[in-house]
Amino acid sequence: MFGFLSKLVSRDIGPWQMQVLFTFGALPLIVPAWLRARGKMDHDRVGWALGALTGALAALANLALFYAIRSGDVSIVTPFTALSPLVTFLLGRLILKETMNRTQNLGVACAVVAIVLLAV
Amino acid sequence: MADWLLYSLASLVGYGAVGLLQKLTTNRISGESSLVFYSLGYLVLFPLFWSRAELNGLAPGILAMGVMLGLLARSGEWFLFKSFEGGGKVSIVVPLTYTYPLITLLLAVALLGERLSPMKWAGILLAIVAAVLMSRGDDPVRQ
Repeated sequence: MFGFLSKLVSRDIGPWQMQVLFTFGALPLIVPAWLRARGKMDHDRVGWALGALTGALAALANLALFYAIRSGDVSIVTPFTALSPLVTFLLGRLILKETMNRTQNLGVACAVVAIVLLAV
Repeated sequence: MADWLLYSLASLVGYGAVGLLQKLTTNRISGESSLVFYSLGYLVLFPLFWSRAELNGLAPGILAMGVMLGLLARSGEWFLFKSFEGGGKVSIVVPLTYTYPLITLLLAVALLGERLSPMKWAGILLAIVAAVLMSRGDDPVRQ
């Protein structure tokens, strides 16, 4: 539903406006999570910085998604961007030296072919 | 390069890096703490977005739909979390959630009139299969 509604809304407003409204919509569900976290906070400043960096990057990635949905067919953009685990896997392999099982390797191969098919 | 492809790649790489950063974050702090700082990081850029977004004069219906996007996205994550709390198996729940582009695809074709070439259909179906396969692991690193 998210992709479909985003496309509908993008006909009337721009990505920056969508991002602002999106954040307003997300806030009510962030507050309970914050309340749940009270008294359980860690004190690792690097962890804090990494968490904040993750949030900032997610906001920018979301803005890029709204731009993509506005300028392209949502039926193509949504499956395309759903392949983001491919980048996570590759970074995990490079930086964390993580290994993938056979199924995941097959998924990576399919993702690469899918990106080529969707991009041409 | 087409605009949609450039922005899609930016989003794909951005969310891919978010997946890795989430992993690095939760290696150091609890899930609750990481959610708090994730939210703070998300809100840090809000003034920038606000400064470039003109909301005056928008129809209430459009405003409501825009807000609903955020509510929908976060609700989806909440339901996913709840399904784990309710005993849902990661090996079933996560791959199932990665079939979500199918819903978008069906709605876009049926209601928005988007038309796709056979090559695009193949790419879309392969992308969904790929997302499902990549989510099947003992310790999946994912968004």
